[in-house]
Amino acid sequence: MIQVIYTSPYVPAEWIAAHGLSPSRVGARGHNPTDSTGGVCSYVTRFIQETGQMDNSTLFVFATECDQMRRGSENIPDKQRQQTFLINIPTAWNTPESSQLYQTELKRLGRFLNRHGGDSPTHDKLTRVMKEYEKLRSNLKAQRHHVSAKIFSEKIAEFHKTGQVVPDFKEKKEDPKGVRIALLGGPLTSSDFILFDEITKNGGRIILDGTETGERTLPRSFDSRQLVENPFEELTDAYIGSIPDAFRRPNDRLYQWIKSIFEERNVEGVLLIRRIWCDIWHGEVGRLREWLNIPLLDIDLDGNVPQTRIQTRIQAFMETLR
Amino acid sequence: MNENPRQISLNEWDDLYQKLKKNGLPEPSYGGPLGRHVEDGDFRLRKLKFDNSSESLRLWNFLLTEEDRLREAREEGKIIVGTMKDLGTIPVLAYSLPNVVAFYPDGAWWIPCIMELSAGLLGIADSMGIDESFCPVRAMLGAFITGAHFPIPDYLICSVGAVCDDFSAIAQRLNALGYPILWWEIPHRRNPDSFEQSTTLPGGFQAPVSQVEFVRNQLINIKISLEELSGEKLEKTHLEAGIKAANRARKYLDELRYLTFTAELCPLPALEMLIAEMLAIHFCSDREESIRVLSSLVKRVKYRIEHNLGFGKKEDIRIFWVNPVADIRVMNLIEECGGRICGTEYLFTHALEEIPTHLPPMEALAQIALADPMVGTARDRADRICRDIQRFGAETVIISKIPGASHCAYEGHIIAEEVQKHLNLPVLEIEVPPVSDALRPSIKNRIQAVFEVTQERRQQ
Repeated sequence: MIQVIYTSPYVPAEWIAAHGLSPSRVGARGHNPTDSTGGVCSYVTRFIQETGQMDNSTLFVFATECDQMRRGSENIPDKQRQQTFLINIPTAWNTPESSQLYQTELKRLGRFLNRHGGDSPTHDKLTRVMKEYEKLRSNLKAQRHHVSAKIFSEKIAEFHKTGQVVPDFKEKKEDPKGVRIALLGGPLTSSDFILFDEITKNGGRIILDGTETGERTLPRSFDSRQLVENPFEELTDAYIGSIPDAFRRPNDRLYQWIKSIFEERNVEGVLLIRRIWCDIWHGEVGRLREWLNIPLLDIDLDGNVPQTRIQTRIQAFMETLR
Repeated sequence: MNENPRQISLNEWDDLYQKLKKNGLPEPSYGGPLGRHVEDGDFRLRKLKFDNSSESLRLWNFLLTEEDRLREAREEGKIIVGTMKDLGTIPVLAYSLPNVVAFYPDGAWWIPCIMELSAGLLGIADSMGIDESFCPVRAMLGAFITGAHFPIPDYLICSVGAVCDDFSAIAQRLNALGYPILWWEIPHRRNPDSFEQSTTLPGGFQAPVSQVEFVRNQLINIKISLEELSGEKLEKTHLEAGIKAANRARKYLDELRYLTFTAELCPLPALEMLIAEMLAIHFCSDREESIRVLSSLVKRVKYRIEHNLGFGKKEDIRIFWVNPVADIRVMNLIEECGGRICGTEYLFTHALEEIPTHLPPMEALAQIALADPMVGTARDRADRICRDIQRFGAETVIISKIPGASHCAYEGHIIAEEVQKHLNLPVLEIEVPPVSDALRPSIKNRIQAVFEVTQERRQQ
C-alpha cells in the first residue's frame, strides 16, 4: 500500500486511510549537530533529508503551521517533488472562513491522494475508518494509566507512524513520589526520548507529554451522531477545532488547555522543548514563564541529545524542584 | 535645480540647508535642518551620506517626522490603526476612511539602527524572552512597552498564515500583553491545479481564484471592523478613490524606480531610493504628502537625467538588491564601492504594483495581498526577481539576510540558485545587523569582491 508520510498533527490519518492509502505521521528520526546551522530548524532539515531516503512511491505531506516547514517543502529532492503536497493549515481560527479553508485544503489533499492511487471515500467508508481510529485512540489513551510516560509517548509515536496500538500492561511505572513534570513544546525525535530517562534519573516523573508528538495533539473524541451524519465536518472540527498549538492566532486555546490539564494532573514543573530556530515555541517561553506559577526549564535542542549541557540543566532544574 | 549631485554628510547638509533657506527654499510644515533629528536620538544620521537635493531633504524630513504626524492625528481625534505584516494592503482600506490613519508598527525594526541602539528596545524584547534569534522587528515589542516611538494604536490588524514565524510570534507576544489584535489569514499562495479557475495577479504570479476569494472575504471582515471602529461606512466610491490615490503613489514610485534604475548615470543614491520605496507601504502616515514627496523626487530625477547629472560613473556595477537592510548605512556602501542600485526587492513588491481598477475594489485588494512575494514560494519570488533583473539590466545580485528571520534561512540559496540558473549572474549573500559598524570592513570587502567578479565577467 502506498505510504503517505507527514509530520503535522493537523493532517488527519483517517482522511488518508479512507482514501485507501497508508498514513504515517512520523517524527524525524534524530538529528545531527550540524542540522540547525544557518538558521534552519534541525527538525525540518532532518525530515527533508529523510524524504530523500524514501522509495519513489511514497507520498509526502508538508503543512504550513510553521514558516520553516512551509519553506522546507521547497527543498525536497527533485525526484520527490511530484509526490509532495503542501497543505495550508489556517493559523487564525476565529472566523468561519478558517474552518472552510481547512475543509477545502483537505479536499485538495484528497484529490492529490487520488492522483497517486487513492480513491475518494464514500460517506460510509469515512465513518467506518473514523470509528476504527476512534477505537484505537481510545485504547491508546487507556494505556497512559498502565505504562511509564516514556513508553506511553513511544506508543503514541508508534500509533501515529503505523496506526497500531499494542497493549502493554506489564511495564513498570515510575516512582509515584517523583516530582510531577510536564513536557511542552515542539516535536520530539526518536533520539529525544532519552530526555524522559534524564528526568526520571533525577527524581522526576513525567505526567504529561504536551509536545507536538505527545498526547496534546491527539484530536478530541468524535461526536457519535455527527460521525454518522456528517463525518467530514466532524473530522475537520475534531482536528482544527480541538488540537491546541502555539502557532494558532491567537493561541489562547493552548493556554486554556495547559491550565486545565496542569490542574488536573497537578503539574509541579515544566520542560519546554524546542528546536533552536523554532520561533513559534521560542516566542512562548517568556509568556509561559510569566503566566505559569510553577518553574519552567527552556530546553533548546540542536545536536545529539542529551548533550552534557542539557543533562546538567535538567539535573539543576530537578534539584530545585526536589 | 542646478546643483551637482553629491553625497554629503549631515553637517554638510545643515550648512547647505542654511544656504537654501537664505535663497528662499520653500518647505512643508515638517521641514527644517536634518541635524535637528539627531537631538531626538536619531544618531545614525551622523554616519550617513545623503543626496544633496532639496527633494531628498524633504523625503528625509517626511520620514523622520512620522511620529509627530501620528501624534497630531491623535490630537485631531483620528483613529490610529496599527497594520502589521501585510505591508501595503490594509492601509489602502484604512486611508479610504477620512478619520483613520494607519501605520506599520513593524517599522520599529529600524529604530535600533536609526537610534544606534540607544533606545534600548532590543533589550526590552530580550527581557521578554524575544532574544537575538528573532528578526530585529522584535524592537516593535519594546516600542509598544515604552510608548515612546509612536502613539499606541487604537486598533491592531495583523496578517498571519504564510508569514514569517518571527513576526507571528512577536505579534502573539504583544497580543498576550493585552493589545487586542484582529488576526486575518493570508494563505500560502499556491499554483492553481489544472482544473481550477486561476488568475494572474499584479506582478505576474498565478493564483487560484478560490484563494483570491478567500482573501477577499478576510478583507471584507477587516473592512467591517474598520467601519465599526470609525463609525463610518466605507462606501465603494470612497474605496475606489482610496485605491486611485494609492495608485498615484505607486505610479510615481514605478516611474522613479524605472528612471533611476535604467539611467545611464545613477540619478538618486541607493539610500534615498530605499526610503522612497518605503513610502509605498503606508504613505508614511500622510497619503497626499507622500504623493507630493514622490512626485518631487521624480521631477528631480528627470532633471538630472536630462542634464546628464548623477552619481558615480557610467561603468558602475549594476546591482539588484534583495531584502531591506537592518542597517541603512550599508546602502551607502554601494556607491562607496563603485556600484549603483538597478533593481530592488525589499519584500513588498506587491505594494509597488498598481491595484487593478477594472476589478471590484475588494477583489483588487485581495489580488494585491496575494501578490506578496513572501506568501508564495521562494522560487516564485526568485522568478519575479529574475524578471526585474532583466527589466532593469542589473548584472549582479546582493541578498541581504535579515538576522534571525525565519524566511532567510531557506530562500537565500534558492534565489541564488535560480538567478544563476536562469541569468548566470554572480550572487552575494550578506547578513546585516541593525548596527553593522563592526562588520563594515568585512561587508565592504565582500561587496568589493563581487564587484570585481562582475567586472571580470564584463571583460570576458
